[in-house]
Amino acid sequence: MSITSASRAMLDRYEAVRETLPGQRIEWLADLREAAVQSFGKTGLPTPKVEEWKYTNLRALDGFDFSETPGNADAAVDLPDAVGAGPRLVFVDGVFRDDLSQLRDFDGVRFTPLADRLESGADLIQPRLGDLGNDQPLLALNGAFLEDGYVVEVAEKAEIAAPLEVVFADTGGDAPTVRQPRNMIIAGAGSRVQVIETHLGAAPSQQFFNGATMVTVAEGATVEHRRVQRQGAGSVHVNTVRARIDSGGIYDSFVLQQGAAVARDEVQVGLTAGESVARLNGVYLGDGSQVLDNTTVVRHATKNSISEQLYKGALTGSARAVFQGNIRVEAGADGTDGRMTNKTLLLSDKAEIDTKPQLEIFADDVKCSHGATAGELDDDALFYLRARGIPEAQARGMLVEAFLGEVIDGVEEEPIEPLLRDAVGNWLAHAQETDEG
Amino acid sequence: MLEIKNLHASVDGKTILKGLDLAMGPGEVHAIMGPNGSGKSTLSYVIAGRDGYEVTEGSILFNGRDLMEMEPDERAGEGLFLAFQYPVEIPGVSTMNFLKTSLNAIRAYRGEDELDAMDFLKFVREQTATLNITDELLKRAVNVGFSGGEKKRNEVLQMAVLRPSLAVLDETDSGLDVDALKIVGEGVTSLRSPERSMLVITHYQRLLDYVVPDRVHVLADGKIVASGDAGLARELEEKGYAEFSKAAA
Repeated sequence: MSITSASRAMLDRYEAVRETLPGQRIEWLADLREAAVQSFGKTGLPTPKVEEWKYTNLRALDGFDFSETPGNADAAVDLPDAVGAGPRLVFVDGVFRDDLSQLRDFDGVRFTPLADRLESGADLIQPRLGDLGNDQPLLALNGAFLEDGYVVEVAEKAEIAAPLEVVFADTGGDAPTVRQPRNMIIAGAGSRVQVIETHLGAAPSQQFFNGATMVTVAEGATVEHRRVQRQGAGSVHVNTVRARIDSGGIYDSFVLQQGAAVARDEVQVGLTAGESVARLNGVYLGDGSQVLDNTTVVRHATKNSISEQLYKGALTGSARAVFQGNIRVEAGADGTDGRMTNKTLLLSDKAEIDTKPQLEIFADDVKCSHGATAGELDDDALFYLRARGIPEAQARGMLVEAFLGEVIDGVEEEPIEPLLRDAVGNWLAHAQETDEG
Repeated sequence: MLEIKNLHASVDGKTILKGLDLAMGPGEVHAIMGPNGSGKSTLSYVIAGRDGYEVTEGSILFNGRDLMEMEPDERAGEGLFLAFQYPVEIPGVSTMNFLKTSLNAIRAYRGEDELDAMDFLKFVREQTATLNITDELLKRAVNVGFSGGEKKRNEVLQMAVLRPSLAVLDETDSGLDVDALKIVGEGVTSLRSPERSMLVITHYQRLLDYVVPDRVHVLADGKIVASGDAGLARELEEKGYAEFSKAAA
């Protein structure tokens, strides 16, 4: 079969840089990359002919020139204020920046760039890097170029109070850049940790971000994984998370999707042992001609596991959002409780949501539900607020904030809560300005 | 302070108000009574400025200014208040936040400073006591899960907080049991003042036992067909609307 021109460019790029990739002299790593590139070469990047990618088209990448990916790794960058009081790892144009990072030691957690652990931590790292697999083209592509990333390793029973923060910043040079970090969150039994990823980019430049993260939640552990996606307007952003959750473990994910031209956040969760829990929530704010995709795959493969999903967004301009949620309940996974809701506010006539909730149930005694709504602001509510003296723009803003508040309430009193509320407020102000102009 | 002349209004192309005249002075309480379909709610929405209620002829002056020229929020800023027949649920907005945002929006319209949180809280607590509204209710989302009585008490609370110069009460008595009616009736009565006019729109006499009107008007087929003092309301209760409706036809 033929592959897209961007796919061909990636393969050419691999040939050109393979010997210079970090850690290439480590045999297992070189093998992993080689297997990945073989796998990617068979399919190339997915096109809308592939069911999972029917609504999100990566063809924008065909317009990128990937022959060089220079980056600007020494550049000065305007970093946002730290979200919490925890340590922070900063990657600029894909390169770890010691000078911008704050590495503080906490009892019970190791939080380092992946590159630091490839040799010393091979026992831990090697099997988990491979865990992500090559069964999806973008994971395979990420594996082929496997560069740096972050590793969070939490000891048994350690409760890490401050969030661990990771910033991926792109400075946006003249040439398109490709960044493919591979990350790992490994939570030991009974431990608790929160990781906050922030993705930033300079406004109009072309970047292709293709990240992959493996999350392993051991028995009784809790991982809270927050992702704030605010990449530059010319970017294509794909971030894939795979989480495997052991008995009594909780994986709690929240994503804000706001940046990039085309973005997809995909979370795949395996509830593989008893009474484990997945909570997947998200907010998306789209304007212009953005395409923002949230895809989730939750597999219940054990008795009495729980999954809860709530994704809500607001769209204006001719923005489009995609929600694909798949809950699969394997035979024997009795007592499964799986719920999934997607609601979208369409603030303009041209905005669009493609929502595809799917339930595949092979067990008998389960509670599963899904719901999706899309609509405009409630005229009755708008009039009620205005009749109480609240000007129209402010009244609209209140209703949008209240709508999205249902999801943001789920991270109430967390360090990112004010950031999220500000993001919604600023987005609204900007959207209303654009409407008037 | 309110002067409605020859008001014609239509909804979805259907003419509902057909030449309504009404004049109210400061501090006066007028009641508009009429059967279902006579145009009572249309009148309240036209005064408040709801989209889709089109004035095709006539005028409404409020304190000498043309009400039709103003947006709904500007009307509120000018001192107009509509107590809704069906108060709207607003999930995600707490009643307290709603009250505060409303009051501060109206104060901003009038060029007054916003009230700070402490002053506002104190002010609201003064109003809630007589209406038997708990702090717990103030924390809940606006009208979400409220009983019929709670919704109407919440309307009266908003009126107490926003202190309008003209309050239009659209069937504020509907859906209330006897006890709730008493609380609402007494709440409204306590807000009577020489600076505040009230237009009480109702199907029944019962709210008027509490809020005794200066004038009563009978609305039938989009027009005022009879006017009188409070005695007219009792007469209507006994005889029904039939003969007034006939007069309009």
